[in-house]
Amino acid sequence: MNELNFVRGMAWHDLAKPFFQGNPKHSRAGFLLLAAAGYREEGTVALCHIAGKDLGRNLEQYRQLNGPPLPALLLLCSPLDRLAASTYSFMTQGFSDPAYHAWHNPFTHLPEMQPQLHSRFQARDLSSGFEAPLRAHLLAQTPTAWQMPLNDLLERSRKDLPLVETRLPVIAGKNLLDLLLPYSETYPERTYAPVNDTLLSAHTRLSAVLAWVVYRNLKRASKDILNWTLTLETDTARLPDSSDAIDFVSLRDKTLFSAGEALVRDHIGAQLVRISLSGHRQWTEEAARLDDLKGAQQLTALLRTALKRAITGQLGVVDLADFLWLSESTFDLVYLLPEAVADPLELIQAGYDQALAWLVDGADNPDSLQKLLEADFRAADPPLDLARPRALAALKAELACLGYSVSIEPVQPPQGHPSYGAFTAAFGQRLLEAYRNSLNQSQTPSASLQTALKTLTATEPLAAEEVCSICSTHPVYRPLADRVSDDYFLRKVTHTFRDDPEQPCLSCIARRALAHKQVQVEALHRMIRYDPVTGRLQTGPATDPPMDVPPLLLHTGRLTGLDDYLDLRAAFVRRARRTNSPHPLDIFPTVSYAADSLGNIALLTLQASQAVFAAYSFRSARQQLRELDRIKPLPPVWKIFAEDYDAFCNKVAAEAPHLLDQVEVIQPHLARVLAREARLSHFFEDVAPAFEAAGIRVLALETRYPVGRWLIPAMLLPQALKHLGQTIAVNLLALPDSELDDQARQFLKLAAPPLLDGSIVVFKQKYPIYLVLEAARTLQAELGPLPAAYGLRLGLTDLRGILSSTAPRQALVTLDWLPELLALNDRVDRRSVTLRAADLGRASQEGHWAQAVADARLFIRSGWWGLPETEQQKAAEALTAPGAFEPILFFKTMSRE
Amino acid sequence: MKDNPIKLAYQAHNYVDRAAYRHGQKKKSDNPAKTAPILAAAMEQFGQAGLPLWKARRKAQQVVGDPRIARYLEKLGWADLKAFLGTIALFLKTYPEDETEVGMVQFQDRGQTQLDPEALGQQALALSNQLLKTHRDNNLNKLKRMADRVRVARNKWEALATLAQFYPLRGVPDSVVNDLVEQLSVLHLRSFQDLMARALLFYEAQSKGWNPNAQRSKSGQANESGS
Repeated sequence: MNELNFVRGMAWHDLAKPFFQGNPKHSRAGFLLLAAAGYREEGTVALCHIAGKDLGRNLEQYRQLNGPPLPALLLLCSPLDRLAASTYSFMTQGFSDPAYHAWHNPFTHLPEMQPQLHSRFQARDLSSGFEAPLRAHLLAQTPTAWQMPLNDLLERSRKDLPLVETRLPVIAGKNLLDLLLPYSETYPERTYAPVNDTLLSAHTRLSAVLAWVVYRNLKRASKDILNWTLTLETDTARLPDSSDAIDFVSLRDKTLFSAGEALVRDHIGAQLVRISLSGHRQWTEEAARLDDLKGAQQLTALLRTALKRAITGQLGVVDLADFLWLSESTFDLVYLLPEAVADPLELIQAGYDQALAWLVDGADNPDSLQKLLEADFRAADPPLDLARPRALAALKAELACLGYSVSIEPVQPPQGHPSYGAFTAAFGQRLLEAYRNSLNQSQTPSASLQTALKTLTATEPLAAEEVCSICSTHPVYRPLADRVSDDYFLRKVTHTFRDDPEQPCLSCIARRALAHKQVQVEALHRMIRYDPVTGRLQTGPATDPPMDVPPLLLHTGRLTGLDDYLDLRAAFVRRARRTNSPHPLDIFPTVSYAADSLGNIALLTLQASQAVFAAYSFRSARQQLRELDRIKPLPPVWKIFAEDYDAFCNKVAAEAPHLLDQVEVIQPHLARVLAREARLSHFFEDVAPAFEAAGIRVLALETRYPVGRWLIPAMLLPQALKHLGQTIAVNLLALPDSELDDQARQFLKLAAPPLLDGSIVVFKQKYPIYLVLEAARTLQAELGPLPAAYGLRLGLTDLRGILSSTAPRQALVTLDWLPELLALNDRVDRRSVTLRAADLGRASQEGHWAQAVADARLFIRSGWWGLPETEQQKAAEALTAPGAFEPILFFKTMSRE
Repeated sequence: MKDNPIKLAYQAHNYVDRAAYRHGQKKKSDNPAKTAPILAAAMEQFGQAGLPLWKARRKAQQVVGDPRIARYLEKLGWADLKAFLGTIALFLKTYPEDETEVGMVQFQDRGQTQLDPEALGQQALALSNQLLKTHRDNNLNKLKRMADRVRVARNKWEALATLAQFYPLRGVPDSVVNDLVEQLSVLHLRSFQDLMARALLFYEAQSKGWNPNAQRSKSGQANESGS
């Protein structure tokens, strides 16, 4: 078995777990399904990733299959699986009877919606309540030709019948593996509370990475196990040194290390490496326009993919490019490199150079910049030499200036632990600590950055007119810049400011060209109708979901030539370039797409807090849930959890009080943290569709953990926040009801951590984006540490009229209070709020009496709000509550009634 | 500098022997409280052409009936004389009809105190609380009208005339008007106007459920928490 099969096998070892609970069943099903998909060797990893008698039975079935000899390396799969497990199970300590099975939200522990079955994953009987319908769902997805043999494999697994080998050929490009993998994204590693919050995919990724680390370290030490094969006997197997294979994996006496466990322990030494694409981050955040930002993001995403490929290429396992990284975010890639990799910095530098070259002009890269520029400027007359070697070399040099930085945290195996269980727990903590430290560690500037600095300082100083007017860093690309005034076609990568077209450098041309593929907004295709015969464009409101035309979008226009660009102010339009495009037009929105009729835009930024690394205690929640239920009956899904969890905790408290902490406090673990991060990423992706479904125009700037950024019309801010609150409740915290009513908020207070910190910055559409991003960062810094408020905190500020990168905080809202604030905002009128603001503004002259006057006037104004008399006083009191007025004033300033 | 006609009217109304009219020693129909407005109306009706100023002055002297004020009337022009006649009736109206009534307190311009924000707030709140005691009998519209007129007064005498206009009047508590006259005696006009406006603001808000004590405890909390 080679490195590739071993690591991939560990990445897929629980592939069949969603369909079959229990060790022997899901391991054998894993083998059958992987073999059927054409990955037989990986299947043997699934077959052997268990221990004890179950492993013996599997080996016996394999012996009867009469397959090729099994490598002894497979005996490390179970210790590796346990090392990667996110929980050090108390289930092994006599509490193996969960009352129900569920997949719980990692933050609130409410049952998650299972997308394949469109139901919440919570079942008393897992087999009939969940696994059988899921198997039926799988069969329904498969091509007809597969259905019988696949059903036979599943039934064989269900009834514990002997193993067989069946191959299901690829049909119409469809592979069985591709059908199976998505189930791991929506199935928990464990199905019993409260540790059922970690995705199987997070666990298996970590398993694969750990397997690779151990494999490389064993290889460096030239260990025999890499070459040994097993001799299969009835219900067991022997190693070449005659030792028993079952005992090699684990011993009955759990206080001792088995040989396999010791081997893993002694070869798990690693270093956690975080590669931060800091130069790319800076390039993105310094973008003045939307297409610069989107283009830079696209370039970073391409580079990240290329870097993953290049690093694994340097390690000689290019096919593991998608398996070896631990986590990735927009600007970060995290690896766990084995000790056997002597010089990670050198490895990364070589990988980075290789990635950059592949990105620019890699012959086997279908999306290389060379191909992109060739396609984009093919109609230039006379032709440009953008895709020629000299220009590409210059482009490479410019992009190399976007450096990266690296932080390295050693992860040494912990010493002195009496059992493998204790060792895995300690290692898990150490690994997480390294992961967390790498975020805060001062990072080593890369060699590439040093090279870039040398390059820049060695360059002769350029005259101002010779420097790119977009990035102000690189020399202007003259062949394009000199012709851009006269050649309309070439202006597609430049903008004109006061009749002066921009003078771009090569990297900015590439960035703008990349943006053309990225910033399409589906809703615009429903708003702009095109008549291909006359070339006329006509705009109108979108339907399904209904959405108004952006006020700044020009109403009509005409496309004349093939490469014609039409500037409709809120969007640029051209005929679709790709032949397989579903739309007749390519439409690229500008920032103005998200502007309201007054040209005002709100930037909503949400940032994941440090709570993703925290331990979550359910102790107080458990104690107070009964009280909540007494006040108002709990929703059924939560009640089942509360009752069963409570009963389980009581049982543990009675029988093994020393284990109660493990049940009541969910300890962080890397796989669990990765699952939390994934949940946040999914949530960020859900925000824009939620706004659009509510008829709110939105431009998503960033939707990947740890930051989400969206542009929305400032006038629609209250509506947008209402839908944001609901999206957080339903999509992030798995609340069963879309309304954040009192009871729901009581739940969240008890169970949800302070997850999201964010800001809203209101600005004019003409402002450069970098200014707004900087204001959002400053505001975030001003807010300070996130208080223990659950869910969300948002700082609000208005950048208009300030004209600086810093904006003072004007208001603060939390998820707890958001529904009440928005309801209050609907009840009070704008005039009352602005009058009160003026009254409060006199505080410098009148001291606290200004507040009294303002309050008194507000109570009097409450008669104008069209509310019943009894409600007027309540509304006025709510508005004078501490912290309530500022957000309402902010909302009212944004919206015109 | 010429005297303010309202001031003259206020001084003059003290010389009128109100008891004589009340006890029938003088004809009630000669009571300046009735005759002065009639003369003012006649001046308005006939104009200076129909009723010359000298004639109007003589008639006014007859109306007031006290020689001590006559010399002042000689100095008044047409408009001031009208103002004089209009306000003396108001002031006369503020006297008690019988022994059971108290009447509007005497006004003496004793000072020009300016209220600082704290004092202004405190006194306005006290006045508002006083109004709340008779809340069921109060007429908010009348109170507002009184405050609005005081707000546009150009001097204390105009303010006093306005107060007199609302004394006695159903819906406007006498005790409050008396308190206001006391305040007017000692306060600068601007402070007095602010006081009235604010007191009425507080009163209206309190009648709609505003609790000033709750606000104070809220601001106390805010100060304690450092916000």
